[in-house]
Amino acid sequence: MDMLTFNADNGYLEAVVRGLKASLLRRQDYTNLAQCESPEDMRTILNSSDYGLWLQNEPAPLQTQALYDCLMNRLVYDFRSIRGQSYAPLSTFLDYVTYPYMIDNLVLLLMGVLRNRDLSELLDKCHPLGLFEGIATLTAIHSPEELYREILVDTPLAPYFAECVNVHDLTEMNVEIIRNLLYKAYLTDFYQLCVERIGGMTGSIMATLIAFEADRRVINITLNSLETSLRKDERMMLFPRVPGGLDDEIIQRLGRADDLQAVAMALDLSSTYRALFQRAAERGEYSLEDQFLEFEMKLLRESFDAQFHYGVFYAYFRMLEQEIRNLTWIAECITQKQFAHASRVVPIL
Amino acid sequence: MFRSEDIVLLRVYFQRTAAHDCVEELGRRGLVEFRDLNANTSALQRTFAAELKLCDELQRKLRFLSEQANKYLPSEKTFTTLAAQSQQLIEAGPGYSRVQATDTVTLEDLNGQLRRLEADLEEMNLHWDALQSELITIREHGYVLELGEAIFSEARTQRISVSQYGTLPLLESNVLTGEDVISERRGPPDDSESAGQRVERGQGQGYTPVNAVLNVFAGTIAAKHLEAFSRMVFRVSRGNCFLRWVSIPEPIFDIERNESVAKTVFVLFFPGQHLRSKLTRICEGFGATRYPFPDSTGERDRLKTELVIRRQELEAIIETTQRQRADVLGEVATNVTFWTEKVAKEKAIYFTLDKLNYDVSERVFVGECWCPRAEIEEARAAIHIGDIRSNAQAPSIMEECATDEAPPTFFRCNRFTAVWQDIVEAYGIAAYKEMNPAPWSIATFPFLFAIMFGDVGHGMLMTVAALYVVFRERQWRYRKLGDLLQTMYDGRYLILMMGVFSMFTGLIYNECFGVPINLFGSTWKWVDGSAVACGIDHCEQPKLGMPPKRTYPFGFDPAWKIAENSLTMLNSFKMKMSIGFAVAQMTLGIILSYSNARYFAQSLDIWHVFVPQILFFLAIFGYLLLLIFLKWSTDWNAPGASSPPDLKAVLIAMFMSPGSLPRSLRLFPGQHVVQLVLLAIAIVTVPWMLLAKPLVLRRRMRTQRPHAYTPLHNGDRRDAPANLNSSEAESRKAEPHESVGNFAEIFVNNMIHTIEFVLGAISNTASYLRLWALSLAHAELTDVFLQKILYTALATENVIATMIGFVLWFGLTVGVLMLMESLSAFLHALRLHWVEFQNKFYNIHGSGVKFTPLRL
Repeated sequence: MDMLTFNADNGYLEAVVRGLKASLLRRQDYTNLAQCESPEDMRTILNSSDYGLWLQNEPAPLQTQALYDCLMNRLVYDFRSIRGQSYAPLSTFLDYVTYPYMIDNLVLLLMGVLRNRDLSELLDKCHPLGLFEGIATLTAIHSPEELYREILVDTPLAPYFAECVNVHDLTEMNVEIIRNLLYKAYLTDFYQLCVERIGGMTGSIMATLIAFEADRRVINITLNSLETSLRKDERMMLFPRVPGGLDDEIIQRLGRADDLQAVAMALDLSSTYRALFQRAAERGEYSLEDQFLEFEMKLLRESFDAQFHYGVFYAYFRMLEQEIRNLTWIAECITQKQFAHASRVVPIL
Repeated sequence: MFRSEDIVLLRVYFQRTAAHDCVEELGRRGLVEFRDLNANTSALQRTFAAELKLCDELQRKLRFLSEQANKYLPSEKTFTTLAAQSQQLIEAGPGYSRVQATDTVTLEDLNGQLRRLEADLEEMNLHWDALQSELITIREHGYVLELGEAIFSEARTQRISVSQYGTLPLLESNVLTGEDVISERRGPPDDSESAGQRVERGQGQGYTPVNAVLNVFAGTIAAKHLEAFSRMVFRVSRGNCFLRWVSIPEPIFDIERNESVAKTVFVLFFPGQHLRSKLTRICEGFGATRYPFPDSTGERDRLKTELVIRRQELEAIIETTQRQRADVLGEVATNVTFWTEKVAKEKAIYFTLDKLNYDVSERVFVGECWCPRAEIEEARAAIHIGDIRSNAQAPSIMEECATDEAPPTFFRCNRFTAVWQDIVEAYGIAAYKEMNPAPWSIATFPFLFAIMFGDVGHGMLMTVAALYVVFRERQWRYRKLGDLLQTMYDGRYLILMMGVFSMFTGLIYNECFGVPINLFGSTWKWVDGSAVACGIDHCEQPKLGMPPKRTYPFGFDPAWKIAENSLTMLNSFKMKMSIGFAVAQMTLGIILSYSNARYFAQSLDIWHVFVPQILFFLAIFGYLLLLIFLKWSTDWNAPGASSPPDLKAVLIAMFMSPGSLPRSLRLFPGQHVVQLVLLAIAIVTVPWMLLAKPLVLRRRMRTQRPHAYTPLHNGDRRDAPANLNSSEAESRKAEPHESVGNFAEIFVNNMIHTIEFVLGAISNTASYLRLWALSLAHAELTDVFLQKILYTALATENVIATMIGFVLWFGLTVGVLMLMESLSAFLHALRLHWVEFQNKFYNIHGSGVKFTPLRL
């Protein structure tokens, strides 16, 4: 069915995205970039890529921040132009893609408020795709209930906040909990959107990607809560669960895990994550997070093998974001003269 | 013209100091194309990466400056005129611009100058923005005071009711109307003052119950945020708040976003201090600006006059700033064209220099470049001048060197032939020295077009239009034309030729806007009592309808237009004519393939490709053409003549029942034997084409292999600097190995070509029938417009209807026939050239590279 009707509304955009994907930087480019001696050299190399146009009007000594802004502008431009041209289920899908940024921004601001940071400085750090009306008024908030009632109720995040209202006051720990609860609700909802409401090829591709996202969060939550005061039942409550993710058995074990050893034991039951875990242990300089990213990039690449589905949109923007992270990382390494680390990026293609 | 020019590979050794000037001199003359000797070094590792980066930076600055000049110079006209003046200077004297733009300024100087200008401008802009935002603040404040007053007085009465039922019990109304409202003031000049006033007021009155205070925020907010803002305010204060707003009649300029936005003045009343901090933050969050809003009318009036005075002062300052900036930008505008040109030139030179190899031991740059043989001397002179200009100690040396690489293809074109060359090259670039179809197309292209577009009137319109553009050539050369006009300008000579040829074919078809012209007097006449017309001089028996003895001297007799069987006759003629041109043009194509094979001395291609091809083609389609001519030239009305045979049936019989042909179908005696022989030839040539070439190649390879040598680098190569890049050397080594073996590949390749040719011979010939189809469509469409619109209108004998009819007819003629129809005929002619003609001989290996000299 997808084959018959998909191209009527989405054929053009899919082609655009596939074309954009082809312009992502390759391993060879990263090798060249890693040899640069200043961000200005990076510009010389990036000039021949799609970023050339975005970088050409930056004044000469290119700063890492300026580089990041340019790259981000491009991401936002790509996203907005595609979102602007999309039709119904795809536009909803693309909106869902921005919700994680909203959650991150929300948490960033709440954390900032707790630490008494300057508002405008915080707003600059927010992801531009995750801005919503009234986000700047977050500073006037003192409790999760107020947060919900006064600000979030107008945003798409409102339904996800249902579980969070039980959280009593805003401490750093609770903000983290809010973030994870929001993510949990979001992932469940996104899964439902893709699999049940859109379905078809999109459903099957996105199910894998969302399940991986959920698993990654489960493992990260477990690892981050090992030495903290978070109770185990609370921990279990934070785990996002979608069909196709980790087995119940593993989830239970992770929920009970007390130390790294127990986590490793639990993950032994899953071939995928066991491999990632082991490799992270073997290759010292690549963290588990890098392993996850590398694996995610593989999944995203694979999603481009199938046609007539929305997964490519999700995949492209995730890839582009990873590319921006890579470039910023290289630029950081170069400015701090850590040339040896500059080649430590997660290749996308 | 038929074959591309001789191109030789030159190796040039430049002194390090002289390299720049020499390349510049070469580039100015547009003589040579440099080869990239550093193809596999990244952009960073090249010698002049720093200079290129500087050029990029300069270009960025120039973009910034010209954008600023465009934006802020008092009127746009000024910028354009200034730029135009400088442009004129450039055109007026090449010497002047040369001195100005290339010799006096170095990039470093320019960089310094531009940096200064950019910094100046940025500072001015900062200053300007500050002034502007202050001005906007004042204007907004003015609006707040003005519009807020209305809200305030209206709200005053309502506030009493709030206080009666709300949280503020037991307050006397005189208190409320008195000093219960503490105005919120912001901004440094007002702060201390307002605080002082408040204290003073508090002391003077002696009482102001804290919980009785209704606070007022007045300010402006962008209209699009208003809704969310009011909702948020309501929610935060749980309804204990009073918000009123009036929109500002004119849009306010937002400096940060650089756009005008609609804004609204709001006045917000709320009780108590605890909401104040919250609402302050909400105001900040929504980007609302709050302004001091005194509650007494006198105070407000005082503030208003204050604002007016400040506004006047500001405007004076702004005007001065504006003038200063205009001065700076004026200077920029006069020079920016020079600078841009200069920087672009330098960038091109450094980019070219990066292609050179630097020989460390000899301290020289070594460059390799392609140069047309005819221009070597000029290139030598250019390098000499470059040496002199740069005061080089040792002269640069230029030598020819042998190469086994195919040089780029270069056809020298003039204004007239360029468009045909472009059309041909849009299909593909010829390999070096390959036959160029463009000169042939100069005649055939407009002619095939004209066959489809044959009408004297339309051809005349087209010719006139093209002539107009041709006479405007000089004026339009540098002008920016629209997309459509530019296309027409580029193809002006093609259109001219198409128009002229269309007039010719129009005369043959005898159509002028669909009306036949009776130039020589029709040779047919109509006699009463006969069913058909008969020839004027041959009408003894009208019943027989014998054709005239004297034929119409040129083209079709006008009488055909009104004949009932005109369509049958024209169709038959045009169809056969199409086949005729098909066979002629494709035979030419095949012969050109022979000319290519002979030029490159490939006897294999002559004997096993060209010969079977031409035999096959002529045996079938050449024979068909022969039959057509035979049939045309036979007098079928002569006494005793049989009825004309159907050529289709003849051709079908040739294949289906070889050797036998019914007598009624014969055009000449012994036709069946001839057909049998031709068929035999055609059948033999197919396996010949298919097998001969690969088999011969295989035998050659077998005999060669035992005593195959590893290729020696010729002496020339060894002299070359040792750092010739490795990939190039490898590819050169790999070539001979590749040609060994691979019989299968050759065979498959040959099979594809054979199948394509054999099937193509039929389908391509059929494809030429489009000439007939389009010509028919054109004639019919013309006729329909003429009959249905113009003649109908004329028939009414009403002046207005006639006028309308004429205008409509003329509009359709121009719009549909002249523009759409001609475009379609053009495209079909294009297709016939690209596909049917050129695939016989042109660009078969697709290996040509165009010669692109460095041109500054």
